[in-house]
Amino acid sequence: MGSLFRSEEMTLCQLFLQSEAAYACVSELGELGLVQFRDLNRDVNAFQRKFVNEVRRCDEMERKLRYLEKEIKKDGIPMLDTGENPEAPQPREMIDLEATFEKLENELREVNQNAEALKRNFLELTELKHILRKTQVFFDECRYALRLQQEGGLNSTESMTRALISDDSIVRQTNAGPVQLGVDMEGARKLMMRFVAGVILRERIPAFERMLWRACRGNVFLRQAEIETPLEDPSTGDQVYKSVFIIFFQGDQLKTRVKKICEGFRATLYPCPEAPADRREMAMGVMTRIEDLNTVLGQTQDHRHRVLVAAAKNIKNWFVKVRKIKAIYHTLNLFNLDVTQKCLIAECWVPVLDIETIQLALRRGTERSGSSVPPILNRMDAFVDPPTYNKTNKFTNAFQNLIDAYGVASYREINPTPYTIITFPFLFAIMFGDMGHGAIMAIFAAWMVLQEKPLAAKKSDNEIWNIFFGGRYIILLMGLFSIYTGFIYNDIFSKSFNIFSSHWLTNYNKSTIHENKFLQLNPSTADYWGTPYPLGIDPVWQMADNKIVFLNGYKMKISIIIGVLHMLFGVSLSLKNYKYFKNQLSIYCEFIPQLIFLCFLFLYMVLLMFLKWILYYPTDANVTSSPYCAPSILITFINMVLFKPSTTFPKCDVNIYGGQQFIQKALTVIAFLCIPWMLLAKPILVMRNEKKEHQLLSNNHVGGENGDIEGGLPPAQHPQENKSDEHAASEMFIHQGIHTIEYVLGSVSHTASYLRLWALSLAHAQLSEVLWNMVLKNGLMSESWVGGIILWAVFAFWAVLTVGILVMMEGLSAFLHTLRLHWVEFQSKFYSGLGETFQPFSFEIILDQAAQSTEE
Amino acid sequence: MGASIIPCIIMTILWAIVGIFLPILVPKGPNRGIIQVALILTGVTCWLFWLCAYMAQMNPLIGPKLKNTTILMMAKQWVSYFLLSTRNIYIYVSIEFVLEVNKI
Repeated sequence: MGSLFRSEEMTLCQLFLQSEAAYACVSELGELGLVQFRDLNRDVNAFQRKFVNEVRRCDEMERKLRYLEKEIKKDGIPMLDTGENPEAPQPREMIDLEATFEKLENELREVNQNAEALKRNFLELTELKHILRKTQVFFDECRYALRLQQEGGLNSTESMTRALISDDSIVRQTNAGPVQLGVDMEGARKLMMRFVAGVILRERIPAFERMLWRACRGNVFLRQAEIETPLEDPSTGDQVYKSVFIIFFQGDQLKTRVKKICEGFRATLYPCPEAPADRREMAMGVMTRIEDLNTVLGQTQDHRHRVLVAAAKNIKNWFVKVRKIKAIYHTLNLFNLDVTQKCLIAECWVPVLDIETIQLALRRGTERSGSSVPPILNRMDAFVDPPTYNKTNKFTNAFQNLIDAYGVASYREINPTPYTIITFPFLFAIMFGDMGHGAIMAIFAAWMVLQEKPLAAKKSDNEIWNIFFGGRYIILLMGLFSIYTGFIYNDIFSKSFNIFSSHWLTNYNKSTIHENKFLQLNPSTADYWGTPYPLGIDPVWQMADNKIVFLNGYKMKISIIIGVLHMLFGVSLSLKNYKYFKNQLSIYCEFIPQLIFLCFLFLYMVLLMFLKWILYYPTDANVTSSPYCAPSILITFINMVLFKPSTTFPKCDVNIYGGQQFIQKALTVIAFLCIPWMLLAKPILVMRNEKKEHQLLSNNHVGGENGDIEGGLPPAQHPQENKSDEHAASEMFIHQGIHTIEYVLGSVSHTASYLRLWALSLAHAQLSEVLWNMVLKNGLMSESWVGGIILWAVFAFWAVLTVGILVMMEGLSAFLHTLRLHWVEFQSKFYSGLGETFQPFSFEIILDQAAQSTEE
Repeated sequence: MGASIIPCIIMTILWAIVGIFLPILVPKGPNRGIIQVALILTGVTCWLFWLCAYMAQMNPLIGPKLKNTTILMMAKQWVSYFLLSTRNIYIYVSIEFVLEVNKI
């Protein structure tokens, strides 16, 4: 049988590699990605392995590359990603690579250091420039005030004070009063008025001011002005806002105090000459230095940019190379060294079908390394279960993931994926049946499928999008099946098509219609054509007041019918498993009673449903087969299981068909007999077999004992063996008991569980009907041109709710219920899912993982 | 029994083509088995789903309960279908009736 029905056949192989050729061979195997190596040095510490040095060197190279990448990203240079996949370089090329990275890193670090120093310098000069400019204003104000004082005498001192001092606290600054303060710089000098000027972060100003005021008891005078343009902090590269301040004070004590406070607040102080001429000169000097610095800075940046652009061209390529080398050495660390030190020995899991390809790859590797001795690949006997390897393609992959999320199949166990491909969308569609919603879903998925390559190349890191994109084929099938089931339900956005003409007629006269608000059509008269609507549900039901009554009966029945068939399908798959593993005992002691139990009880109920559809019809002539006498299937079934006689209305026949009561009793008795069969048969048979073998064994022993030396040994072992036998037997009974109870109770609860198909489908239909009636209907009510505008708005609202709630949320809930039906109700019948996944050594996977982890 | 032959045959043949005939035609390749299983299951499930819907309506035990306005609308809008299906003598009656309704 083809792939995917069971996992690939695996074999354990031993691989002898020539030391020189090992690297090239492993590199080839990594490109192939079909071999899973086993760790042969489990007890060896990671730091004591053979190639730990090489791995460390690779780590170092990776670190340098990451540093480069960070710098490239900082400068916003696009990194060239050609998507090419260079082969792992030879080990000797590693040194070249290392040298290249070393050189690049050093160059970059140097440039960065220089740039930072230059920037710091630049910042200082800029700040000084601002100080000179701003303090000029303070001093100018001062002079202006002085002139006023000379012209207007004493009165003007107050205005001058106000000009100089914004704080009235200054009034108390000196005992000499405000007059002295206002004196020009000459006067200030006489009074030993000193000042310091500096720059501080703007947000620190209030605290700084308060601190100064408290520490100097109000004996200092602070003026500040904001620098409008933000300045760049050279160490972090952030843009910060700063302010210029100037502090006036008297005396040396205050000076030290002020300086300390400035230091504490990380304010930078700059020398500021008192004389205006000096200041002007200084400003000129600063301007020219700034200009010089600017040109130097520009050149440094240019150089850095050139280096980075050159690196950006290759960086992806380098990353791939380094990661491949690292992966190879990691793998080589798993190998055993031969005694002669000339050979590396590896053990690996290999798919049997691919041994040829692997051998070819090994030969290529040997040729590339120039070694003369070919590698040897030996098949070995395995004592552990091989890993499970399902070869999937882009279509089946998503379905396989759904199954693996529950549990990876045991080795060579039957894989539910091929069946899930159809049953999953089908069960989903039963719950989601609506042509409109199905079409939205299918169109969205079809777009993803058609744009597959460009979309896959984009590699979005949006998790929700990735989930949708990964499941695009599932969504497409779910959409298509929903369209079909919607067609059968005759439901599109809660409306119906009348394609084949309704098979119900209205034959009332005018007065009847006028007199009765509601009229129920009678199927036994000419209201009904006699044959049903050919494809799906008759559109008349969509408008009927008793629509739910009709649909409930119909949908509940199909849920049970499909559920029972689905479970039967699962049970019959278990037969294939037993046959494959040659487990005859389980066929007779598990599969057959399970099948009988399910068929005689639940499949019988399904048959009754079909009988009811056929045998009871609208008629006035024959009472026993009229709707009046139609029995409830559920009640009939419950009575059957409880051995109660069926009850019915007067004039009706108790039996649906002749001999029903007897057949039902027989079926129930046989079904119940299956329970002890399932429970006891297998453990008893196993025990009997063991006893037989035991007897055979001891008979042989007796034969051997006659002339053997070790005759005394066996009796000593006997009591222990007996104990473990009993233990195994009781364990087996418990296991079988659990299994049986699970199956019997499960049959009931799982059958009931399939009713979720009915419940969700009903909820979906109702929700979409409510949405139509509450929202879109309002938009269709008004007739004039205003109605068009209203409809436009209402439609937008309706469309958003339809997509958001009915397609997305309802779709998600239906998806989850379908998942449950497959995982629990279907797979519990045959699937054990105890396997381990095959994890081949593959560069593709390793590179993907690395790319993902860096994106995060 | 109120099944009409034609839709039954058409639908059964349609899904039989999908479920029986197409799987034979699937070209050889590594995925042949998967495609066959998918087609067979599609045929079976879709046919079953149609069959259930058909059989559930074959012998209706209840009739739809309709509002009188709906009945009037039905009589007015669905008349063309009655004309197309010359199956029933009531057609003429209903046409007369519809004409009457139109006059109202």
